[in-house]
Amino acid sequence: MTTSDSFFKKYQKMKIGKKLTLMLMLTSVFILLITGISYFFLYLYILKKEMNYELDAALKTVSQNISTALIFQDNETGLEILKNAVMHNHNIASGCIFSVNGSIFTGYSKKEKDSGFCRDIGSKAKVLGDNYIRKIDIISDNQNNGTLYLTVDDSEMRSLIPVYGVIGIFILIGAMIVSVLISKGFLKMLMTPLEHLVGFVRNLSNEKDYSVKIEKESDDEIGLLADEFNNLIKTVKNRETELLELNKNLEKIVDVRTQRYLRAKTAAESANRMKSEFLANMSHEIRTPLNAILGFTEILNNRLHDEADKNFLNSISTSGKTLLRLINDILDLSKVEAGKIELEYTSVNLNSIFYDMKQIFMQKITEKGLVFDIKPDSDLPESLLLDEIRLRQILLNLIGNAVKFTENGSLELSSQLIKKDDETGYYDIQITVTDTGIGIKEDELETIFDSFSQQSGQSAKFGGTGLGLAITKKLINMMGGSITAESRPGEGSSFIINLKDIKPGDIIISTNNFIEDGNLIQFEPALILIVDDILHNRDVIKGYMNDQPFTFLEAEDGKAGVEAAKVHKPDLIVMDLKMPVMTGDEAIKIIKNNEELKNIPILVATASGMEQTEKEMKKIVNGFLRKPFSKTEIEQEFIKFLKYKTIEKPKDKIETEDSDETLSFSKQEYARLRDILDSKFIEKWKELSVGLDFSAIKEFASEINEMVSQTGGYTPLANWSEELKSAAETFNVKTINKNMKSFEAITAKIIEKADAL
Amino acid sequence: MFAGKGASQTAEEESLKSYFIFNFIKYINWPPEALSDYFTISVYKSDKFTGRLREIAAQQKLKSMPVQIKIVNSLEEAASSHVIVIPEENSNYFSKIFQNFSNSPVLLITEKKGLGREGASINMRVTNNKIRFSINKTSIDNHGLSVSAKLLNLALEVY
Repeated sequence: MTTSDSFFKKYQKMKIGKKLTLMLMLTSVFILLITGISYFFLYLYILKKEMNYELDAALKTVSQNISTALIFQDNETGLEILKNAVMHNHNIASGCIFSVNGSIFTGYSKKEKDSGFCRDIGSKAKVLGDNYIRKIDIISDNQNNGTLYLTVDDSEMRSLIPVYGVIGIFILIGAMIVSVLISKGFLKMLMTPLEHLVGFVRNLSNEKDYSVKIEKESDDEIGLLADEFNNLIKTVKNRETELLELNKNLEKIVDVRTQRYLRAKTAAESANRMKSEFLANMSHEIRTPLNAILGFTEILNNRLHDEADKNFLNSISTSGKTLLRLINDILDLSKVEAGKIELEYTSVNLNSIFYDMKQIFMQKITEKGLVFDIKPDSDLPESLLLDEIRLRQILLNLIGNAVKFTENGSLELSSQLIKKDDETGYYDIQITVTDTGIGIKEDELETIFDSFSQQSGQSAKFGGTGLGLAITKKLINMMGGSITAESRPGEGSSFIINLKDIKPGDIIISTNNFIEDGNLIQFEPALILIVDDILHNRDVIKGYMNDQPFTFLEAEDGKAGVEAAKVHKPDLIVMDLKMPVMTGDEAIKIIKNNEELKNIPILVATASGMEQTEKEMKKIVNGFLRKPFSKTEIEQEFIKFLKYKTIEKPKDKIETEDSDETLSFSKQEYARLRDILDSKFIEKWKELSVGLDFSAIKEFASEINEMVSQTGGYTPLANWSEELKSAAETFNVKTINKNMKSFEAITAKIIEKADAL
Repeated sequence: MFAGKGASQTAEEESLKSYFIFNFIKYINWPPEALSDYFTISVYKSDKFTGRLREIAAQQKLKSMPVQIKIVNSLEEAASSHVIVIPEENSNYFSKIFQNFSNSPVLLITEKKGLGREGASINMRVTNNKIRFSINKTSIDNHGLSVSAKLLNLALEVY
């Protein structure tokens, strides 16, 4: 099968000349073979026939000649006659004569010496048959006198077979050679004009010169072909001229159009840029007066006492806030659309995000009496490469909606592994947010992800800008995923996010990687190795952690660090990078390549501004401590890798840092700060402390920041507001909660200072 | 093959010689006018061979004629014979019989050494325990008979 296939392929690739030679050769060989074989068998048949005839004649002669000798029992004469017959007939190997009573009368063989071989010739004759042993009764005067056996010798005939074979092969080879020679001659006649034609056409397609003409060499089909080619070339030449003209025209048209398109493109691009700029400007321009409106409504609120007036004012305030949120959302959407948002993939623990979500919405859910189930898929890896901030934004949006539209029943947040690609190691995952809320009508399901689309009658009861799902969808699309919604009005809805080809994360993140706000951490005893050449740096860590049951090992360079790790197998290693003898990088490589040590977590102590280094090392180390580090930062990192429990923190011991700058603050300045806070922010803070309105919190933080910079820059509050703002931007609920709580302590301190000084 | 020679011939030798005598006749041709209703084989003054010859004659014809075996005691009795067998012990009658029938178509068969040369048509003798014979072709021709070349081939001597 395969050999015939490959032969066929080879045959297809051959040139016509070779094909013809091959066919001619095969044909002549085939015919010769058939003829040769037929002649051979015919000759064999004739030989055999002749042999049979001679044998029959010999049988008859011998039996006639020998009968007398047999009658008169003359063995000598009998042998003489038999010998004569056998010797002179090359087709006879031996002969035997039996008397009528069965005894051997005489026997002769070309090979054997005495007549003993005749003893079992009778039984041989029965087995071998007529072709090898012939038998005749010796009869004279109707009297049976005995039996004559002649054994056949066809060795001469057989010896002819190889001779004929060899002759046949020589004839075949000769025929092949002759057929090749003949076909060469034929082919030369046939192929030369054809090759000229091919060469001409090839030349034509290379040179593209259609003004040439083929010379006709004969009047046969090839000559006709040459004629047709000439016609074709003429046609092509005419066409080319036409085309060239058309082309010239076309180029002109294209030029004009291209310029038109370029102008349109430039216009569109500048329009788009203008739109973005406009949006950014507008949102800023709108926000400034809006802030004034909101600020004054609040001041006015304290002055008004008429209930009806207060209601009007309340409406103004609510509308203003809605407007603000709308502007923020539009800004978000335009950022996504303008491609200004870049995704940042980091190792993320999906479960930990899920539990965060539950915590964030706990208050509202409890208020509404709902149940919030989290069903993570245990088959999913603990760490996945995702944009954590955007994922949080998406989930906050979807769960926020679910909470908003569900009056009773339950919410469910689940993850599911759809498939793992064994080749790439990538995961396809599904995240589903399900509620038992009011649901969405079928005809509205298609449009809910469009901008400014709200369920009919939604805004009246539930509020919202109608941009949340549009932003959500755009973000998911940016991640290469998709979102669909399923719903039955009155029964609930499901929002299904499908993310494809998610890479597994390179760092394992434990679920309890945050410190519950207001709680103290009590670690279990552990052995910690600090590798740093500067004593001061080692002492800082030891000093911060002196209330924990840690045993510290210290090493002054990478080499000593590796040795210490080998000997003591610490629970955690803190590694500096720039060290003499052996750098931190090298030490880390050695440790991570050691089977016994590679599971020991390593925290790298880096100086700030070494983001590039961090990016490179992220894959092999377990975490970073950025110098100068605080106690909290060290704790934050340590709890990821060491066992600990939390202890409720005494409430009155909230820390606020004193910095040198605050000392230069006068009593008046403190008082002014206090008044501003009191009049503008305390109320708002109380409002925002309930529930999680990220954009409102962000707004709040920016306002305080602005205010602080205008009032002399009270550092603790400036830092605090910066932190809160960035937490709100990254949907970091822990930090938001922490800062919202510590606001009270900060204001208390300001009030204390204002009163004391 | 044979226990003795001369006077003490065995039955086996006698039987084989009878068979030979019968078969000799097959290779000899008589002129047609010499053949009539019976083919007659006569044994001169003896019943030797007659028993065995009769047994064979009962089964086979000679020259397409039934065969008659006779014992003849005189030349007259022997006159109508085609073949006259002269047993060894009666060999002294040979010359008388030979002269009497010198021109008749009669085959004379003897079994005494030397008689072949003297004119016996066929003379049998035992050589190397086998029965062999000589043929006197001249005598056979003189009797107006002819002998087959096949038989001549087997003869030890031809005169």
